[in-house]
Amino acid sequence: MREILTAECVGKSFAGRRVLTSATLRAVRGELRVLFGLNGSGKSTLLKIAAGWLEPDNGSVHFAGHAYLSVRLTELAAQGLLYLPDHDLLSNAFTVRRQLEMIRLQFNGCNVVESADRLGISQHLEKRPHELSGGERRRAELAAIFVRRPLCVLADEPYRGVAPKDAQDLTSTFASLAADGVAVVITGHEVPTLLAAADHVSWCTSGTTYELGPPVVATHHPMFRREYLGTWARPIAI
Amino acid sequence: MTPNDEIVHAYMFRGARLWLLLRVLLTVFFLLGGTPSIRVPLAVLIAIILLSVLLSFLDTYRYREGVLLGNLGLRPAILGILFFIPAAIGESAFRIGSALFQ
Repeated sequence: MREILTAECVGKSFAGRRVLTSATLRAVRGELRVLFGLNGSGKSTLLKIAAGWLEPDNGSVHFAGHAYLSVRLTELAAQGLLYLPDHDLLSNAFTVRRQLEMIRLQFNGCNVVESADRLGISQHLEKRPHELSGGERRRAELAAIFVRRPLCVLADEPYRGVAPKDAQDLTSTFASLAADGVAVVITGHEVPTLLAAADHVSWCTSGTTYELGPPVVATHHPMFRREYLGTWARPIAI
Repeated sequence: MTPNDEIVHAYMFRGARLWLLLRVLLTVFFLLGGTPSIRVPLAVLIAIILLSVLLSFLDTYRYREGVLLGNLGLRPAILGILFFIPAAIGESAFRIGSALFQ
């Protein structure tokens, strides 16, 4: 079974405003999937629901063969999900090393120093996240993924506050996770970087989602080009 | 999931720190009010412990640790127990200590 997580026919309203009507999100082992959408289109809401961080008004979440009408992040995390929110994952109350150790001990994970070395943050292990730059904080979060060794990663706008070069490095890291068999779903607006690495593109708009397929197909989708890509709409070479 | 030692130490220490801070402030407040400050009535003792647990949760909220704890598989009830234990031990020690010295 390659499809490890599915949030199906999800709907959600906030104070009478319908954000999602019937949206679907899929995470597939060994695939880096990208969810695009305009600001306020419901990408983050969909990811939160898929991660069990937010309860949907309707719809269901399936993870590792289990179906849930209502599920919490704690349950999904115990089964192998890791959710990176649209704010910092790591707490400023503890050092990076201490938090990575918490993750390692909790899930019998990988060596903290090796994971930090892999992401180039070994010199920052004794610092607290607020002492790091935006790019270093994102690397520390990726180190947490390597320590955790999850089955599925949902990352909500992981490129906020990072330089284009760092964004490329982060994307390579997500791609290597997918190559190792992890199901990865990312949201973001870094179109060239994400399209170059993605295996599959989804588009969130008008409260629903469209499975556009591989990037080469997605960039030729007329509505996606017109309503999301805009002037960037330059089909990538096949 | 059961929390590992690193998590237990980190969050029990937070609970203990905030209980101690609260207890010092309340002791000063009680002293100024001329009421017994160490050996407090049982209802006040329970209120202090619950307030201390609430403050610890607020501290967790302040640091936006909800997702981190969720990713660690820790339910709020487990965290509540970790915050409750140091406050309960501290208050019990105060109560036993004050009874011994009376």
